[in-house]
Amino acid sequence: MIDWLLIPYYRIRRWLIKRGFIRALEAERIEAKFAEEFLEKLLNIMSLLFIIEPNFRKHIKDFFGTIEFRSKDYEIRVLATFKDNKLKIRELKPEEKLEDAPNAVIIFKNPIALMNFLLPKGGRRDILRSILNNEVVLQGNLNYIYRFSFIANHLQLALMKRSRLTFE
Amino acid sequence: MKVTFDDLSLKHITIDSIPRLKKLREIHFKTKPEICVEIPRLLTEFMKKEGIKPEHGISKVMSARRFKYILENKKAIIDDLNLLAGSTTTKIKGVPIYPQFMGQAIWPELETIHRRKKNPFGITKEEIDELNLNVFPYWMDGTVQEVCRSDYNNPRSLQIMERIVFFIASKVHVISHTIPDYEIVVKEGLGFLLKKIEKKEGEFYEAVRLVIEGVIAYANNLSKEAELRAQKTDDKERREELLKISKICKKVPKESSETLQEALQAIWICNIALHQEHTNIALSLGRLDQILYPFYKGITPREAIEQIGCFFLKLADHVPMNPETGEELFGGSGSNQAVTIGGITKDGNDASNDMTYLILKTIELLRVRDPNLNIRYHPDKNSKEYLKRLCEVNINTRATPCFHNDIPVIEALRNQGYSENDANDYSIVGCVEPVAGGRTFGHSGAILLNLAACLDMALFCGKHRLTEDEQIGPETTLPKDVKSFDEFLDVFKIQTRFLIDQSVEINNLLGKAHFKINPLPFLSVLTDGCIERGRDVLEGGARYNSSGVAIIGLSEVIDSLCAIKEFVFEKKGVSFEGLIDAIKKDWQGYEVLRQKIMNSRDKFGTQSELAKKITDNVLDFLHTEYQKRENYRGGKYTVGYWTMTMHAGLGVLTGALPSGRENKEVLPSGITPVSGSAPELLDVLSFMAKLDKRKIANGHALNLKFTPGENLLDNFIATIDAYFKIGGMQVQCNIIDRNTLIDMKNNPEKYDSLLVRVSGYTAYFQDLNIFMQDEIIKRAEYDLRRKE
Repeated sequence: MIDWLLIPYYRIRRWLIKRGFIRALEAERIEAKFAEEFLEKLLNIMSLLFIIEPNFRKHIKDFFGTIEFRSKDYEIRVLATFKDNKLKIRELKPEEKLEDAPNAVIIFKNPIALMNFLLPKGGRRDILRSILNNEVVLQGNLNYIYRFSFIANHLQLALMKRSRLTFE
Repeated sequence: MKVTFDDLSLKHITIDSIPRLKKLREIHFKTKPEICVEIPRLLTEFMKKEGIKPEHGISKVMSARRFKYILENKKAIIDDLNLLAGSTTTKIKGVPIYPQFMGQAIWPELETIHRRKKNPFGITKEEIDELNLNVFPYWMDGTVQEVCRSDYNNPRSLQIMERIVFFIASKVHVISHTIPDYEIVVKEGLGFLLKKIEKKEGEFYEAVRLVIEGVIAYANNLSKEAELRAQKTDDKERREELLKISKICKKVPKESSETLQEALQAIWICNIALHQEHTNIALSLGRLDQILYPFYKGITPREAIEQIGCFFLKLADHVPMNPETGEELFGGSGSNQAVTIGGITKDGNDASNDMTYLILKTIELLRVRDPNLNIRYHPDKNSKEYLKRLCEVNINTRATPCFHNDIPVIEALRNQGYSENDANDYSIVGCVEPVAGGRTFGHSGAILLNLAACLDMALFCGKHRLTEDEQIGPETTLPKDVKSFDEFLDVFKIQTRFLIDQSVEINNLLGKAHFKINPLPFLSVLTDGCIERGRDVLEGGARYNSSGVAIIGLSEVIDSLCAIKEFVFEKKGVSFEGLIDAIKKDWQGYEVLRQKIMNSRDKFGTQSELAKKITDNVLDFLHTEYQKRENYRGGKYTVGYWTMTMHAGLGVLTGALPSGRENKEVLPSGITPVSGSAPELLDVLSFMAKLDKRKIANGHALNLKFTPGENLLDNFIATIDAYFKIGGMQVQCNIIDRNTLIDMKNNPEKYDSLLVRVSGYTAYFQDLNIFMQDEIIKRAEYDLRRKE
């Protein structure tokens, strides 16, 4: 449970993130350099929504696992940890070694590939297509990636409704 | 006398004369598939109740208890019209989900699957929640694929398979691809098997008892439901039907059948039960005309066709699940359940009977993609009237049946150690794979190997253009340093051998993982040998054990090898480096060379001696290498050449090839020559007939397209007869012209669901992905109407 005094803060933060997110959705062309920022933005909004939206939180009930997102050259590395109904995000250094191997790793060829994976047209996140296009390489347990993709899709679909966030 | 009909085509029977079938057929076509969560819900419920984590494995007895729980709690569904009770799912046309296999692959698109472009599936919000919140999370570490990964330390072979372009070992998704022993179900009943194991002890037999009890419980539930429905209906005629259904379900499959309806109901209940145990892809029916013939008595042909039609439409009550890209690249297939008819009997005599013609007529009337009709024809034993009727049905349906020649098929099976009786009694599984039905556990679709990927790796020193700088296979000699064609052929074989090793390793590991989390006690009951040996089919209980391999892209690779030999090493028209540069650039700047290669006479399916020699060499190599390796059940790997729709999907992932093929072009289907490269039908048939069929024990799919027309029938009959007499093994034909197909692609709304032959099975043209549609349009079209 979060402290109720923090609710206004979270609301403002959510609004800011949502605005940035929707701008990204609306952008006709996505700059490559934006990809890393967007990855963090997406994971941050997810993390926040898990705290404040019970209907969104239910998607990670009993979800214990780690997913690493990284570029082929290790320049971008972000670790998402699902634990105790929360999502924690941690940026990793290129050379950093993890004590426990993540359950799954998503390795993207370049920032555009990451964007295609994170922000597919019409909210249709298509892992198989990304693999076939050699845009991403998946390592580890695919079911963790499928579950993450469902949550990301759900978030994108909800945000694309434009009205208020509803996570039914 | 086994054939009593004067008119083998039973012209007096039309779809209009059987209103029930007409209506059921309409319902079948107008119903859109919907996802059904019954199996995953019951499966997960049981596991949670028992406190079993799937990744820890499950004993045979517990697996049987789980199966029994599902069948006892499965909804008993009686349709309003059908004469048979029971359904695979709770939907009219359901998409069953199996969380222990690859059900989770649709997790990402659960909320969009109803509006995807290709083959959308209906789903309710409650069903999304059920899968997303209750089912899928429970199985995250417990699927066959993930158990294999964790138990065997994420083997390299699994990682290579997950790149998709090299090979696919289908056990992550399904085993199926086998034929249960339905003969024992109708002749003796499951009660007979219970009695047979009365005094047997041990885990396996305990599991057998439990699963049979589960199936009988489901049949009893159906019986009760039919009785309830009978009480509620005001329609007197339907009440009688329902009471009859109730009585039948009380009797079969526990007891032996006495009537055709009982036999069909017994098979159908067992078929449903098998679908609760594992995914259905190509779970086939065997020689239905031989199994059902003893029960065709006391009814008219029209009544028999009505009952068979009800059964066939029941078989089509579910469709396989595929994620969106899977649908776009590889989809369009039904469950591909093969039915076999005709040919010779176990003791070598003509096997055709009245039931053969009743089944043919039913297929002709229904024109549905499932079941997939395969006919056996023995040029010396079967009558010309029979062949004529087969050809008529092919012309009328445009796409079915698929023709198999008994002589080479039986020879190929004998070469695999089948007894004469068992080889004579073969049936077809899935697309074109011959096995002894009910006696072989062959998983004939275990491995799909992309031969074009082997070639790519040979050309790029063990790397593949799709996976770029990743070293996949051994680092072999640079093509520019290769001194002769034979040396290059060795390089090609090194890369192919590497992928063969990888594909075999992962298939064997997946087989063990499958047995750990999902033994198959009911399939074991219905596979001869298991009860005698007291072993599950996955432990090698069946009388015959094998695993089947399907090779994709053969003719394209042969044409490429011919081009390398002719243009690089013989005519020296281009250096190997130059040829590699040309394909890297997708022939940009090399159009003259490409035209020369395309116009060469050395092509697969022609009179070319070079092409024949290289083909024989490659066929022998693939057969020998796979046969050397043993599967996880102690059986052999058999090789075949059929592709389902994989040649379309894998073609999109394949770069330009030395054959002149451009980047992303669809690969040729089955064993069919590259479109346009073998213009003479006689050459194609002669080329195929001369192949060594003993090395094609997992069957091949030769796809031909003929122009329809008035005077086609006689030449069509003569062509099939001649092809089989010179040794042809199999052929399947689309009788449709290119313009109709193009119009169909552009204006699908103008056409009823049009059946087409893909590569081994039939599909509705509209359901196929665009690459597959183009491939069928592009296929060489031969005109048999010409007068010589």
